Amino acid sequence: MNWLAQIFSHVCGQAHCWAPGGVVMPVCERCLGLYLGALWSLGLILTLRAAPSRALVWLHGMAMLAMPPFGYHFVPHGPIVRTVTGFLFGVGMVYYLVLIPADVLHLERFTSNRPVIPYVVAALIPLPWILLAAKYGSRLAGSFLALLAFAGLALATLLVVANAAAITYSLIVRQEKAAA
Amino acid sequence: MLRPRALSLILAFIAFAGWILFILACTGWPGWSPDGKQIAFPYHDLKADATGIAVYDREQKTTTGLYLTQKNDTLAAAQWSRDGKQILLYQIFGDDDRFATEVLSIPVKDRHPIRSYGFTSTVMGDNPPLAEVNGTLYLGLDGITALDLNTWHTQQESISNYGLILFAMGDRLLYVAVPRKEEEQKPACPAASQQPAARKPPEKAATEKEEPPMPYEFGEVDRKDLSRHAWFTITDQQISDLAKCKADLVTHPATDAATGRMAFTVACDDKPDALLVFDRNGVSQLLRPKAEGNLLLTNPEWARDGKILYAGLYVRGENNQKRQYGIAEIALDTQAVRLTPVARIDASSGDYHDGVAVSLSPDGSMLATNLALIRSENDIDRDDMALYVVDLRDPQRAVTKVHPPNWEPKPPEAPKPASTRKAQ
Repeated sequence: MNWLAQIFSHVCGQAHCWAPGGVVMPVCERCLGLYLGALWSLGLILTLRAAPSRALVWLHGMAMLAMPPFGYHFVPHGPIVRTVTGFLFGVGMVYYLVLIPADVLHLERFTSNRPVIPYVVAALIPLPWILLAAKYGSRLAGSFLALLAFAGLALATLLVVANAAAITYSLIVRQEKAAA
Repeated sequence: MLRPRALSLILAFIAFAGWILFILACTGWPGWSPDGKQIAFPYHDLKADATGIAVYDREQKTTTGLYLTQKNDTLAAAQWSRDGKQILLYQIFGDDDRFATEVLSIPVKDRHPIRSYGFTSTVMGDNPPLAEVNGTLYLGLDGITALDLNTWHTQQESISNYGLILFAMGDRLLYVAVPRKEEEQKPACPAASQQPAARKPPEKAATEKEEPPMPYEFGEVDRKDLSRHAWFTITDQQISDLAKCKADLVTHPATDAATGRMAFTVACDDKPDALLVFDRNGVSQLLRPKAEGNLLLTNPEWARDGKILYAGLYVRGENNQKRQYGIAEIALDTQAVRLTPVARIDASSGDYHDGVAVSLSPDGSMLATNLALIRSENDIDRDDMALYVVDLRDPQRAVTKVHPPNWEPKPPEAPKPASTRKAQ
């Protein structure tokens, strides 16, 4: 996992890492949660296709807000809380980052209103499995989690690029319309 | 609709800014410039109530926090790699029968990438410093693990029944195989350890009783295949007979590469500690430092001229009483002691042997000892929680006290209101 360690070293302090099977992961406990949460969030968006209701927007904002008190060490906490708060932050972050590309591509037509509680339950489904794999898993489980985290990092990066592209594109179209 | 909504723009900005802040908080900002004249030391951070690693710059007279653990029970330590390119931090997490050791490497030049290596074991790791020879770090737990500090590749050799103390003597890697006591060995099945002794087959119990205790084994490790080549063995009983007390070897010896000698502190239960000097053939000298009281010694360090052993020295006293701790210079020929007072502490023998250590600078001119890891103010005054550097070139042995990051003096006690009331 050396190449993963190199890549994550640019975005992660790599201290306080889970060590499934005795091998320390290339990403810290909090970032592991964040990037796995990011990946899971996209999965939820694609499968459930929930319309961005006010309740969902607030819920994802609250999920992101759970991170700062712990991420900035205002509250003492351990590895499990680090991973959980990172995961919640990742879920909320990706949901927000999807909104602009969805607006520009007019994807609302594919969505439908979903009840909130089943959505929240679905969002939290992978957490216990991630924690079990990180704490008691084998070396293979650790490698798998690290690869998924890398996919989550790649996804978050792509979404930021997509947001920049969508904003630029909409500005160009707006200027062209104004000129016409 | 080709235009994003304003709310989407705001939320996307919040998510992006949050992510960037998250990354910055995780990777950290502070930088430091190593010049080869710094000391890395563990300390108890008063504000965070956690163990941290700090770097003291002797020229700039500054102390910088380098790393902070988030667990109070984490044992953390640090050392420089021999080439000076990396600071190696290691921390041990553990419970009763399973320990996880994590080694972090922070490149001195631009601080990234931080690399880490971890493994689990059934015994706790070595006391610092870990043995490093030719760019490879060697750890002894349930065997020998060689960690290449350039490629980060590992090589492992499992060993059962023994814990290993690994240490470097020049470019050679030496070991002491310490027999693992029965209660330290992890049972194959947890339930098996709970079986009452009477249920064992009588003939097996009798055989176990007759088995002589396993001796300590001293020798050299072949660094190519990690095989062990024994030099000699010595039993607990032989060490106790020599020291004339119920004795234990305190981990991490001093080595003198020029003469091939190694010195261990022998911790005695009820008598003053002693020092045992070994060479390739076995015990060559027993040292009883000539100092008054029931003294405890830390790990030793060998002076560059090979004639003096340095060690931290503390005299056992009654509980809840702080007593003088200092640096002892013990002459090998006369066993006379020159003591440089450092601070007053209250330590039980277990805490003392595990938690206090001395370390000699590479040129042999300075000696550092660290009391910044003692966290209880019952054991040490707030003002004395510090790293101490003793200048061995100074005939007066000047001592520099360095407080760790986030250290604050104790606030003055409020005056008693009783006298005011009386005056009224």
